[in-house]
Amino acid sequence: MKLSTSLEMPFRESTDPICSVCNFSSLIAPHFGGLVCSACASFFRRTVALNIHYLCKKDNQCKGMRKNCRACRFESCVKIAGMKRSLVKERKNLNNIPLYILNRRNETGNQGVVRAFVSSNQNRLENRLSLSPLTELPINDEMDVSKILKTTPSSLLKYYVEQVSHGKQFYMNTLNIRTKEELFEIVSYQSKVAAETCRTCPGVDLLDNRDILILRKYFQFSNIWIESTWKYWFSNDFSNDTEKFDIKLMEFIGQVKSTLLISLSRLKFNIFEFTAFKAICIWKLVYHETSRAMKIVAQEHYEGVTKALISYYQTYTLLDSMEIAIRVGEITLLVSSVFQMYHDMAKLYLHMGLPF
Amino acid sequence: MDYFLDASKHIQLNQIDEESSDDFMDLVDPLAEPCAVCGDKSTGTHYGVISCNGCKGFFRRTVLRDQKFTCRFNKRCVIDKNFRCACRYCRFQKCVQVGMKREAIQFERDPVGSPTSGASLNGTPFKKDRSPGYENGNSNGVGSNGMGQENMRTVPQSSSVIDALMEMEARVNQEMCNRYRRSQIFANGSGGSNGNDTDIQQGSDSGASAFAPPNRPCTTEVDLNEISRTTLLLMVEWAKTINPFMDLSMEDKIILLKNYAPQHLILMPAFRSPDTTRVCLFNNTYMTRDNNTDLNGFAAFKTSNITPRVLDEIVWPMRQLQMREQEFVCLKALAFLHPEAKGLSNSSQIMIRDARNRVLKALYAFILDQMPDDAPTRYGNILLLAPALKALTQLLIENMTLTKFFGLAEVDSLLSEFILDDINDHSTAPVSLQQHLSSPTTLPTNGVSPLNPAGSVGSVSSVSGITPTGMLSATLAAPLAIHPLQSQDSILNSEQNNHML
Repeated sequence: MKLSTSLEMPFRESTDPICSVCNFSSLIAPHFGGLVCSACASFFRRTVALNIHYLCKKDNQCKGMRKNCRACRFESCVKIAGMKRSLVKERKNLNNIPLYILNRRNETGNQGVVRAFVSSNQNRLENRLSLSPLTELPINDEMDVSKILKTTPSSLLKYYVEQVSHGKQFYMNTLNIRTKEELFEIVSYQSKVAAETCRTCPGVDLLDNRDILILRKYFQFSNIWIESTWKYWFSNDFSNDTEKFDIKLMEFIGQVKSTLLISLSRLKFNIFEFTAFKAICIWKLVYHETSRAMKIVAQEHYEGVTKALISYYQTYTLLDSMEIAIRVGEITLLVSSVFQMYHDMAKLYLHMGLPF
Repeated sequence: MDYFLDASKHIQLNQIDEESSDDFMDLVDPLAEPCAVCGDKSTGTHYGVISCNGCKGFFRRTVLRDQKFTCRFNKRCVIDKNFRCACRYCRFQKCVQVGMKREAIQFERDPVGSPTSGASLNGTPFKKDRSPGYENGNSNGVGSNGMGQENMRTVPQSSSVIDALMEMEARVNQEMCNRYRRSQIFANGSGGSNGNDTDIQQGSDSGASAFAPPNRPCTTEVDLNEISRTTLLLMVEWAKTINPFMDLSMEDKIILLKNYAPQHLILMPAFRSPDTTRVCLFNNTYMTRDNNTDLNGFAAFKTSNITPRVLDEIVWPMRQLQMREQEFVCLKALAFLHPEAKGLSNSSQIMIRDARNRVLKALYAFILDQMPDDAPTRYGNILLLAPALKALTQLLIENMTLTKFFGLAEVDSLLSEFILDDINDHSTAPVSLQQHLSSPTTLPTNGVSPLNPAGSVGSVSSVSGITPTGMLSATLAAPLAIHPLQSQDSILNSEQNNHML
């Protein structure tokens, strides 16, 4: 029908319709609510039916052309041409779905596939990491229950995420304190939080009281100093109070800022990465001072948290396996700095007379 | 731009062809140029080459199904309109030869044909025969060939990183072997006169290889001090070959070395220990978990609480993982390149972090190549040795601090400079370390050489702590004569040591 129409007009006029997405004048027709060419209509249909999300390599300002940028082409379909997602019918023939789409669906369910224009772009790391939903974790590890901890890796990471989220409500930044009294107040409060956390920690039922007391110390240490370091780099409250301060305490805080704070501000952990880092710190510190049972539980915690973190990277970020390896390596090696920090903190508390 | 126009024309022609083959001839004139592959009438540019529909489809099917063909003749078949189907190998080779690009195939497109034809098949080749490299959802759709290129670009870089570390490790081991062959002869020769010839012969035999099984327990403090001193001096030579180290300032170099030295003293024996019953040292002696009472009281105090933990937390995981030497050299480099060491400048931190990321990438690529199934687990477990190493370092430093403070034993001045952070040693540490770092000596490739000046300085500084035998003093005389400047520095060190004592 269209071809015969073209035959009736041997000379094309300059007023032929142009596709508003790609600026080509070829076979313009109504598709999904907009006047576009058949190529852009097929592109729109594939993107919607296969549930694909494109990311722009530049700043979402690409113009015209069909293959410059898929993200901007799709955005033009929606905003300029007015095409509607709801008009695309669901794909009936499942045999024609590309294999990489099927593989992703097997891994993540039908949550869609995120595709960057360039698969490995280090400069877009922050944007890609921020794609994650903050309240969900993959639930595809039902068969991977730890026999010792009686929980799945994702549930284990979720337990720690809840601790960090809960800590946000009663936030007292330790790095801004000046006096011994302020530190005493924070330590007293965090001791109660640590006691409550230890009571509900997976695997605690296998430990005796002496080990639980040691575990509580490390939860308290990580609550006070490691979490404050993570929250500090994006907080803007700088205290100008210079009346009275403790020299030893200020030296220790300065050391924390110059080592751990710099690294955390550079790595820009999101809540899942920081939570995994905190869990690894606690159980790696525990590992060196306790009984055989504690070592076994610590190893289980480390492996569970690491599995959950790698699964999180593979599901919710665009990092490839090499980038995931570097990221996990940086998290693990950063634990070395925490040993020195803990050692100096113990000496500081001893000097101040804090019970520890 | 030109490529885009060709692709656009290809898409347009393809759709016209699909919609109505009867009107095709009337709408678009066939191009004047023939198909570049078989000479038939072309239908436009496909995959970058003017080609006919037959060759276009043949190329696409071959790539999508990842088919391999074999020529039954001598790979020079004539490909023309009449005989292009006779040999698919030569036809595909000619497609590639005239410039058809597999990257131009759009893998994401719907497969050619109506949905009904797809339903009739159990699974379309489009889905089943997809290239495995393309299954990664992170791909940008370039195609498996592009993925292959990326993989090939990664491997040489990681291989070169590990190869450099392995080469330096071999040279250090060879130098250690040579030193302890000579030391073994001296030690046995200076023993009792009974069976003198037999002792010398046994010494040379056991010293022939650095990996000979250890033949006696470590019994004297002199053994410990000597082996620690040699290990640390070779560590400085090793550090000079790590890439950004020589570009740092002197203060940052000293900070990195002092941060890493205790870890080095723990890592080197741990890797040589075959099981968790004893720690094997480089002079073919060993330290067991229970028999530390053989050492005299002071040496036992220094090592009694470290040896069991080294065996449990370092040696046991290494044996459990069956750690390869490539992985071990990467672990050493990762422990050395520590950007969070106290006092490092910002520019040094950035350089050290970049170098460490290169080692991390090389290590993961190596593990992925050896055992791709459980690479993440193995990778994580190897990296966990680094925090464990750091914890044992604290214990080692505490032991040496207590020993020095209470005067339980004479701590070697070189060990103090590398490990302790006391205020008394602060003034002397930069001098000696700067001297070693400025030394241009490097380990030769063949490993056969006299003791280098750095070694002689270390030997001289031990005079104040150890009563030398006749042979030792004779050996030390030659370096003194050859290097008068270093001799003066040694005298200064001796005077300072005497003053502190």
